[in-house]
Amino acid sequence: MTLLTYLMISIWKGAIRMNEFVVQLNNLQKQFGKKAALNNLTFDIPENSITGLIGRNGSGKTTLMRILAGQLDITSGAASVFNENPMDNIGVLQHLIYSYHNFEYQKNINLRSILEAYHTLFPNFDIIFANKLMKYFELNGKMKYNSLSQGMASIFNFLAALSCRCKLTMLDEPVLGMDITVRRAAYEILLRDYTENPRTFIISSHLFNELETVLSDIVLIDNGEKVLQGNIDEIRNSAYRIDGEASIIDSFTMDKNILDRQNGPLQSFAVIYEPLTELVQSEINKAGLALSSIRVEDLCIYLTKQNKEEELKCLW
Amino acid sequence: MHIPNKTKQGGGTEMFMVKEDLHNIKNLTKAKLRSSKKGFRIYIIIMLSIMLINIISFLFRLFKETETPSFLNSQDLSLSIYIGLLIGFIIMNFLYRTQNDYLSIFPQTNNSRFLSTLLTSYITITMVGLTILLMYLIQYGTMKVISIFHSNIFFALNFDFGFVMIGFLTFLMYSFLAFSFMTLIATIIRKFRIYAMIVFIAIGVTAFANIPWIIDILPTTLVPILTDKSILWFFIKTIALLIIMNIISITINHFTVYYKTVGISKFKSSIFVFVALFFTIAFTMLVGTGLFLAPRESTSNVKEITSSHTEYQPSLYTLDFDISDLVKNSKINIITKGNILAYNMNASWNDDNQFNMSYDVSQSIKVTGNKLTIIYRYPIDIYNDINSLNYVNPKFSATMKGNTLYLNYEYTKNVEIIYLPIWYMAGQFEYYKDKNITVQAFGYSVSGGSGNINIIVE
Repeated sequence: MTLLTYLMISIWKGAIRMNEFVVQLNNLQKQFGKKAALNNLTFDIPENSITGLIGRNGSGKTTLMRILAGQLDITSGAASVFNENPMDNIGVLQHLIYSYHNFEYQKNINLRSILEAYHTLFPNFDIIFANKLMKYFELNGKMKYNSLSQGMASIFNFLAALSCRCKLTMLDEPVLGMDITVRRAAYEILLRDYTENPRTFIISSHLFNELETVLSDIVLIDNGEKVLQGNIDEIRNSAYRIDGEASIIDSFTMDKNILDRQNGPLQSFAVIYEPLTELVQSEINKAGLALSSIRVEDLCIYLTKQNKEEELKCLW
Repeated sequence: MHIPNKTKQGGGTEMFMVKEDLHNIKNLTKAKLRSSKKGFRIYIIIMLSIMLINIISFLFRLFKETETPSFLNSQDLSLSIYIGLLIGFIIMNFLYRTQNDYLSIFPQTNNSRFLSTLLTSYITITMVGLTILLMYLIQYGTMKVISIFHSNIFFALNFDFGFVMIGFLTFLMYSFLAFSFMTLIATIIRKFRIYAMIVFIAIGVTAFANIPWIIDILPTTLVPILTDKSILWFFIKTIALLIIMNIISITINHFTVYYKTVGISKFKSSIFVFVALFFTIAFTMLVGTGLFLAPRESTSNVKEITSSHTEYQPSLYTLDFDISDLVKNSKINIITKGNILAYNMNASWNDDNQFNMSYDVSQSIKVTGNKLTIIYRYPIDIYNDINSLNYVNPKFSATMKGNTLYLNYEYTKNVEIIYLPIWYMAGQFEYYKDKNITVQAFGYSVSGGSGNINIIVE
């Protein structure tokens, strides 16, 4: 992504943000048998945001997106899209797309036919744009969908979803199987199209460090519960790392929310989950500790990791 | 925030549709029809091939004298394919979820999903039926042209366009009824799942075990509903039935949560397929009995109908032999010749100087005093009131040598009878009776004709 594009996006993120919510969840609960896939989820997703839905495998991301797409009923609570229940509500559903990497279309159907179906069923589908993207990604309309590799299928699903120009676009693992060059191109296309046609995106991906530059917001869920949610810049400043002598770190972190703490013979460090204010910064400087920021991806890992050290040792 | 232009709140609880829903149904139907385009193309190719093979084989038969007469029955195979496709649609009904999951990425509601599936099926069944109609007309036209130049081609039935169209619509109506009935069963199973399956399997097994009883009870229950002598009443009744079944299906589906469970197990799928096959087979068997298709009284009218096709009736020959030199109580050996009859039998008098023998030969031999009279009837192979064994210049000969009677058939060549039975379903209507354009009953045949030899010595 070029710097210019990134700057432009940053401007857009600020300029086009409105104080309205596309998605609103209130104590949302979804159970499969006795297992709770989503547990009391409450959060909103603002209009025209690009929200990363982050979580480990089985954390409930897909379940949540399927509920928002009207493809799963809920156990309790409320989930609304455009202020309405999406389930069986064509007024809502025709303005959202939920696309995932391994969607199964009818066997032997070719890409052109699939795009025709998109064009028929999504009122804002831009067939010209879709064909341009097909050409850009070197996909032929005569190709059969089920003969595509995982990466190519992901590209196709991505470009089809993007061309829908839906007010809410949900992409579940959109870049799975794509090589790095294609992934970068995909991110750039997504951003450029977003600037041209601002709308709300919810993207779930395990390649968070790549996606981070695209996102405006993130929602971190773990075991069906919300762990973290907010603007990505605010989250970036919500934790920091200090390096230095163990005793100094111990005294500094006494009243702090510590996410990780390690003592080494030469160097010790702590990861603290608190906003980095100017006051805190000056305290760190006074204590002679080295301050560094941590990546949002690392923060997510700290917030969702389980202590498996003992189990790991048992493997050998 | 732009709120979608939708008046209802809460989504999916209203039965009645707004404009957006109707638009969605239309678009989903379009998408579903497009996705089956390839299958339809393959079907057309198969049907065209069948038609060409029929016409070509017909042409070959024209220029070749065959000993075994054959009659053209070109629609049977295409009809079988049509019924096969219909069964396919019925099975698809039970794979409703699998079929719709392929399109789950597109906006749809429970109602629009179901209604578009129904619409797609009805449109496809109509299109497939139309191809058969078209094939019928093309073949009929082709054979009509050929018949101008060949004197040995006879059309068994007169052509009546109104009858063809009514027959086609009747045919479609039965297809729709079969499909909508199975849709109803499938919808009930989707709603009540295992409970419905248990009930249906129990009913099916009971019915299967009591087929004679079913055969007895159906004519007084279903047949009056599904058949009528009046065209108007037939369509009123069947359309009403169709509407009722579809409304029930739509209502049940409306209260069935499509996304209640994620995925469907292979075990459940196989049960669905099993149930579908079971009902399809049961339905086909019932249809095979002719209950739905042939009015019950029609079989008793065979004589009357047969007499309307006098030109195709077997000719009667009477030949007398003087058997005064035949010793009483001696045996008469009867030998027939040719492909049609190949019996060599012995007959003898009984104590009363009289015997009746019944065997599968179309002849009657009568002995009165010293005179032996053979009343001969041509062999017949009546299929749907039409005798397929017709000949040009038929000749019957009987030769008595000693105690041996030789019977023989000769003919110049067989006659091609163009008989297109596909619209037989319209034969139930009074309006078309006695116009020589249809047969009353379908599916029965009388082969050979039961002949009696009565040799009476006075």
